[in-house]
Amino acid sequence: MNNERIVRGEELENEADFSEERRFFLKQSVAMAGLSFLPVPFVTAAGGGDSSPGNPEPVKVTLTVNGTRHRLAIDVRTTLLDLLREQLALTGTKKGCDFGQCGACTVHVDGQRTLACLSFAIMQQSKKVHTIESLAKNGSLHPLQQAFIKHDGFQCGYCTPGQIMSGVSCIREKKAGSAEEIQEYMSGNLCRCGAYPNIVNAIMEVKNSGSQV
Amino acid sequence: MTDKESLDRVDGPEKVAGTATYSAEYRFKNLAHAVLVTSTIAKGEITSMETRKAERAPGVLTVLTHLNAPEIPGNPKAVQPAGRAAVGTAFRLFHDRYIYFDGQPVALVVAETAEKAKYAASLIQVTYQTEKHATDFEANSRHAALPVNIQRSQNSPFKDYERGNPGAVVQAEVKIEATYTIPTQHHQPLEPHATIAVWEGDDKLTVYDKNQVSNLHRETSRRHLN
Amino acid sequence: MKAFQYLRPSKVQDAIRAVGSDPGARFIAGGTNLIDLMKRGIVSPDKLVDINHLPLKKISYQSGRLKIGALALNSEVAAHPAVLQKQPLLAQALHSGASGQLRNMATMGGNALQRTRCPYFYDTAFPCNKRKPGSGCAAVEGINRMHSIFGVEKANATQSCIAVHPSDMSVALAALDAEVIIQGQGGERRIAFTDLHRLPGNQPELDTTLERNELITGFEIPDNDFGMHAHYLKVRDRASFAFAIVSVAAALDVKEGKINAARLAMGGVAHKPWRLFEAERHLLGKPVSEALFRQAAALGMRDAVSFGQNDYKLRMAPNAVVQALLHAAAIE
Repeated sequence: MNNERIVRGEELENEADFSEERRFFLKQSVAMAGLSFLPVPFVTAAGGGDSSPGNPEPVKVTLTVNGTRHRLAIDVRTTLLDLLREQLALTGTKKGCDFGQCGACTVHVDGQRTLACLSFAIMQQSKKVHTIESLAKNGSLHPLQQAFIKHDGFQCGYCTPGQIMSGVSCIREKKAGSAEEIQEYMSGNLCRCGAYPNIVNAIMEVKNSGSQV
Repeated sequence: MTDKESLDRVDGPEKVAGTATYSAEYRFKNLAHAVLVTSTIAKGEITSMETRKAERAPGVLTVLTHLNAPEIPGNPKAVQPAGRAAVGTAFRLFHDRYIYFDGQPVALVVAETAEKAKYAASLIQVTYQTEKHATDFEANSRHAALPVNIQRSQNSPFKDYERGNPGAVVQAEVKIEATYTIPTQHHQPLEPHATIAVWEGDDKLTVYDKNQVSNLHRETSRRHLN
Repeated sequence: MKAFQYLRPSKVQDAIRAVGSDPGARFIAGGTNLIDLMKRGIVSPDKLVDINHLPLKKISYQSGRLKIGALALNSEVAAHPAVLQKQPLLAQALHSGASGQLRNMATMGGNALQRTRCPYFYDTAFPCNKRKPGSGCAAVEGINRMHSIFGVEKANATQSCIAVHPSDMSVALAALDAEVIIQGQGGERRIAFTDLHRLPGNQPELDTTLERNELITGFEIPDNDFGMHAHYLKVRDRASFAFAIVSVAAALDVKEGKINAARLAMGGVAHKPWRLFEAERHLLGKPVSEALFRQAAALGMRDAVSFGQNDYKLRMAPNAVVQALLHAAAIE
């Protein structure tokens, strides 16, 4: 296998400083996810199989992620989720269902919580994206991150970044007035470990504390 | 325990910060991406597979199916009987043309990027000869039999058991007779399955995988790869 | 997913021309349904025309009409003071749909044009007349507990489609006599919202009456006297973030103890938002009572059919109509 052929998106320009590791990682432009075993059902005769090459010229997109502006060349099919995880190495944003049903990929785009898996990266031109990695400041966890630890708002932790990004929005949107309201406005975030009551408690506590979120 | 005594999870800070590393999140240079193609029938056999379009799709490195997959070195050498493997036989990936369950992997597309692998996987066409499957638990429960080893075992937790006085119901003043069923529950954690396999020399393979028993998994992998 | 060409026009006419000139081109707005369908290979556009930069986001109230741009987000509309004051039923319906994240992404136009969630439409291994015309309907003999009870002939069902239109917003807009403003290459036209979606008939592949190169630019809702006497009732498998199995939009204008105007529409029961015109007429001029609501609901059910797993809807639907009317009339 000729490894040199494995070319992922290319970072064209980047206005912030990166650690050596990050810079190396971006400049190498290599594939970063491994063998991702995502079952794709057969497209049988009944399906929409087609023979077009599916090999696009890279397209350019500029967006700001966690305060850093990036100019990137990407496969036009790349979702915002894959861009964050595979090209910018921001794997805190999780890929759960990849179809908008679980909320694990929740990020803030121009301040609003959205699903990164149902967003094409190319459509985020000039947008400001914030991920879970942006919440901690100067080495201190965000109040909601601390509350999730205190109230044990998770087990496996895979839904947690999405829950926290969504929970921050829930408080900012002033929809955290009661347990019932939190349950309703957090319904887009599934937790298969069943930590829901603790998640509600964590959000309630931060909301009631009046902390800046 | 009271709140004061309770312990925080040791992995808590990493998990809430998004810095905990899950199986798909280890990073290496020069990884290829693989996507499974899975069966759309529950029982039957593959009569033909059209993989040429996928093989020729941009960025595709290889397409594995039961027609071209190498034998797994650690598999027992005994030749399976012609036809469908007997019930209870361990499932062998890409071994024969038979379909044993819905969603069974029937092809693996390896490509330079995930997008290219997924696209190529969508080009594979398979035709099946379908056989009648029996997957309705209720409809088939009359054929159920208690496994022999459970019948024999004195201490099996699966045996019927009695306590109290079952005959008391006969004298009861009020009797309620009802059948209760529970819906099927699936054990589906949110993190999808993902594996990264990295050759570190000719005789050393490191596998990053999502599983519950890592030492067992390591031994199984070692045995299969011999 | 197949690679596609990507365009980002800033003018409505440019967007319409871009789609009109290429049979493989599609508009994309919020993308919450189209990207899902593209990932699954149900829809494979050659070209995506991103309409998010068109000036169609405005929400305003002018001379007795609430005007909502097609690109206004569901969350913005549901929280907008003019919507809450003039058309609270629409706010309720929008709020009952999807999740906080999806409502921040989904647009009004995209919500109306979302495709059915029938599992056979989504699974390319099965026949589906909507996905592949002429291949059959796997739902008629299959998993159909979510499916239609109205607008399909039972004898003809396997040649047609028994899937339901999934939007909550559409049910409210149908009940509120909304108008759809549509821009085409030749100019603008307006239709009643109830004429936007169609019954499956022998062309189940068509969800709406829109031409391929037409774009919804906005919606208008005329004033009414329902005030707070409007209710959106949604029955679903879990308490939130689930599609309706049955939903009802009910609005009443009661003057001097008698019903002066009534609107009833149902979701989750047909290929389009289902107005119960005959039931509405039955309510007119009569004093409010539960017995009256039951009569109206029964009238509304006259042409209902079912397909096995959705038999329960024949009882659930009229009960939901009665409950929604009781809420709307503030009798509980």
